[in-house]
Amino acid sequence: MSVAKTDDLNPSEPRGSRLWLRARRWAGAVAWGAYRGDNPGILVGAMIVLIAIFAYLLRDTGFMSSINLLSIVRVSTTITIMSIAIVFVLCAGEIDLSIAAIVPVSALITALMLSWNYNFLLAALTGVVFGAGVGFLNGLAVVFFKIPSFVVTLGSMGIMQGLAQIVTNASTVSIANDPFFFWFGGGSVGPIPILAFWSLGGLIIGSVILSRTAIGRRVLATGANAAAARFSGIRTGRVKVGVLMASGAAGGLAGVLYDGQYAAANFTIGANDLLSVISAAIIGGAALEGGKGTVLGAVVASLLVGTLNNALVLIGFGAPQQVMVQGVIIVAAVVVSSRPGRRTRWRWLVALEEAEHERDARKA
Amino acid sequence: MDASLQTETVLGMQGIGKRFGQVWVLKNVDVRVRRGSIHAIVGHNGAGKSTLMKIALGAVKPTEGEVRVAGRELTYSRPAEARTLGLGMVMQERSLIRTLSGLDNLYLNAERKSALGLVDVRKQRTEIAGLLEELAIPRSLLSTMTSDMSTIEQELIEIARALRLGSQVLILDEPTAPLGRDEITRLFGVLRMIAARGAGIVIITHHLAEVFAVSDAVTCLREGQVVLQAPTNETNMASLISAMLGNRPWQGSHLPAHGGKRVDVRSTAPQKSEPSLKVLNLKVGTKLADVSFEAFRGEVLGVVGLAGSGRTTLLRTLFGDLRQGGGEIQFQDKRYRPKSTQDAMEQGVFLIPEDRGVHGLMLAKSIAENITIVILRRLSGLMGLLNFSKARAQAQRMMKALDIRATGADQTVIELSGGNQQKVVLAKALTLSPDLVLLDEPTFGVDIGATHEIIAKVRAMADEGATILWASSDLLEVTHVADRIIVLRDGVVGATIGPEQADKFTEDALVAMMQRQQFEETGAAEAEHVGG
Repeated sequence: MSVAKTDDLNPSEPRGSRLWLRARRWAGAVAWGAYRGDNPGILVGAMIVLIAIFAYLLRDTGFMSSINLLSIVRVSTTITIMSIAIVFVLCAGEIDLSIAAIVPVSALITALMLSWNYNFLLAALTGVVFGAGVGFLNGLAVVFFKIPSFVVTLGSMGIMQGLAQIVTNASTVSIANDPFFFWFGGGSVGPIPILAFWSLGGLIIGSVILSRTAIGRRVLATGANAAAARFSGIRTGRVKVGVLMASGAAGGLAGVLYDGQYAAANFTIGANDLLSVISAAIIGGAALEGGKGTVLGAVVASLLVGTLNNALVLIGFGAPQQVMVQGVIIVAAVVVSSRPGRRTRWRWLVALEEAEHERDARKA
Repeated sequence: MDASLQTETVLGMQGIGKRFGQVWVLKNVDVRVRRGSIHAIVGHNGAGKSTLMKIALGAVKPTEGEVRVAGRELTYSRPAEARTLGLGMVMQERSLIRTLSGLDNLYLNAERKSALGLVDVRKQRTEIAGLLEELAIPRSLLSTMTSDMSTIEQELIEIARALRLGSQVLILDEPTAPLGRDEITRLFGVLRMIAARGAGIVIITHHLAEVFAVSDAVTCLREGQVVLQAPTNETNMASLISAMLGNRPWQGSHLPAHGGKRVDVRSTAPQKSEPSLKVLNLKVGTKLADVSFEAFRGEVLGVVGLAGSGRTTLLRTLFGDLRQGGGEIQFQDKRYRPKSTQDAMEQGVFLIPEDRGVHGLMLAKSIAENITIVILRRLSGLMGLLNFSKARAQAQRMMKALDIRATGADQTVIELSGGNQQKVVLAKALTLSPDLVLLDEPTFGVDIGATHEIIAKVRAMADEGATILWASSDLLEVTHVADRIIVLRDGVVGATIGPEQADKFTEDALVAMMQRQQFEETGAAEAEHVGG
């Protein structure tokens, strides 16, 4: 196939055709990445199809109303934030099972501080720092004792679950603090809920760090081949501590955001979130064996899970069915992403890439 | 073949030829192992030793010739055939399951069952007791977990397992590689005992000293043919070495010759005559006992030694990946004691590791990502954002400089050939441009064309003032790339070959220098054994 004709390469060619070549190559690369599971292209497609199906099935229930769609985003926020952090953990080849168990402890700490009339920002910050501290200890245990993070975080998950009940003797702490509610819960800018901005902020910061900075490269390298990373001068221990701190902090932030939504905290908050969070990261393309994953994928996947849950509620199902559906799609997602893929690029894409490289070479 | 000979020969391989596609890997090989004797098989990598043993084991059917185990011909009708005829093998890789006890390993997949269908441990113990006694294996090993055994104990369990299955012929592939000196002596004692019981033993080894220490007869293979076959006491080390190596031509004659260059580095350039790297009495673990040497700016120092001699240990210690147990290293007139690989890199040292798939590359990542991983800090710009066009330009510059053949800088490394993968690892070193470059088996699994390109690039780095340590098991290559060579042997630098000793820059001389020296006395005792 000769998609790239030689006259495409003429340096005097019009700018338009050069851009056209570049656009085709970019689209080809995205399609190839989606086909291989490197980017969430398939996921976005699945989401569109799913919404179209529900829009038809649930056309009488207001599923497609902007209020409902925005509420999906709002309800999914805590899962979204945590799954972004879990992508980093998975990319570094580790796992954090304690993330959802940090949520109620941090929520209770923040709620208690608010009830003692501390500044609402200080209260929120304390919740986040607490989560980061737990993550730090997880990381130290993983690095210094050289034990798998699966075991370490399984242990700290238990500790956190117990701690959540001890902090307040299993009683509920209610919150009354309007600026706190605005910034961490029910506030909105125009029609758009504040929580959507938290998700958007997490998406932007997370994906820039993972794919555009040295930190992200170090995380991916550690997960892809820790030995090679070490032989390339990367302090893999620091990377592991760092990602576990990030996920702890995300758990802490999720607790604060639950406080803002419920105006109260007790030890059951976030109890069912672990499955959703790890599902979202994996459906979004993060590989359990490390080295691969995208933040955008996790965000789209968490919204996908949120949409499914929302639609299931509208159809008339409850929490048990939601969890079961999640269980099915997490396995399906792994089956799809681990199919023996083709290694050789599509020939037309190779031709396009060669054309562009040749032009780069000529320019240089 | 007359009848008396047939009873004597326990493993007879006659006129063995094996063809893969168009290539004959074995041609007309005759090996006759007599009952009660130990037969050593030596040869270079790729000489056909392992194919020959696979044929003996019944795993590969020969194109020509016949194999007889205890007088009965192998038909190659089923894989376990040779085993049922009484042929056991101890592989080079340990095949014991580390989490099972010695007894469980001995009877793995052949458990004796009681009437209830349960494993009858008592029956197994009484059955194996006689064999253990003969091999002088303590019975306590039966209930010891394999992971708690020493290497020699594991080896003995492997031998016992092989003998339990087949007691006519025992084949051992490189049995001494993981063993220490005393353990080897013990192993050889056991082997002689087994032979005395009437079995035939075949031992494959790289260590020629061991041939003279333990074997009764020796066969040397080269390029699939028998080049030397004799009773051990009728040959000697020198003729064995020359038979093994033949006259291998160096295919890189167009490379710059080093005769003149070797001298140049040390004497005619006074500013270079101070060593940049000084290693004094270095001790690391059990591998390196007392290593001292010097390396100079602008030179390629070859590091050779048999497998297990500590080449890799030395390089990894210099790269800060292993902690030095004692001694002193000076690098560029400063005390050098790297705490970590990062620390070493910051001081201008880089290692191109032995196994590129395990330590050198992220196989699932692109060429560009692999190359630029070493300069992430340099590529980080405003707010820590990576400068992608700079990274891409660096990757493309490297691909051009090293002629890495790929569809582009975004191609994943796993899709490249071995030679091109190794060039990507080399590109990491070039990108970093360190002052001390450590290369561990840099041309392993690399085709000849890429090998030449790698050698030329490494020489160019030396010419620009870097100090290079080139460790390799390809001795011919070392003689061509190195200015000086150090030989590691028994944990020390056994010999240093300088440019003034041009006659020592040969494979034969190096092989002779690499051999362990400790079996010379036992050789005399051996002659008695052969006589008896």
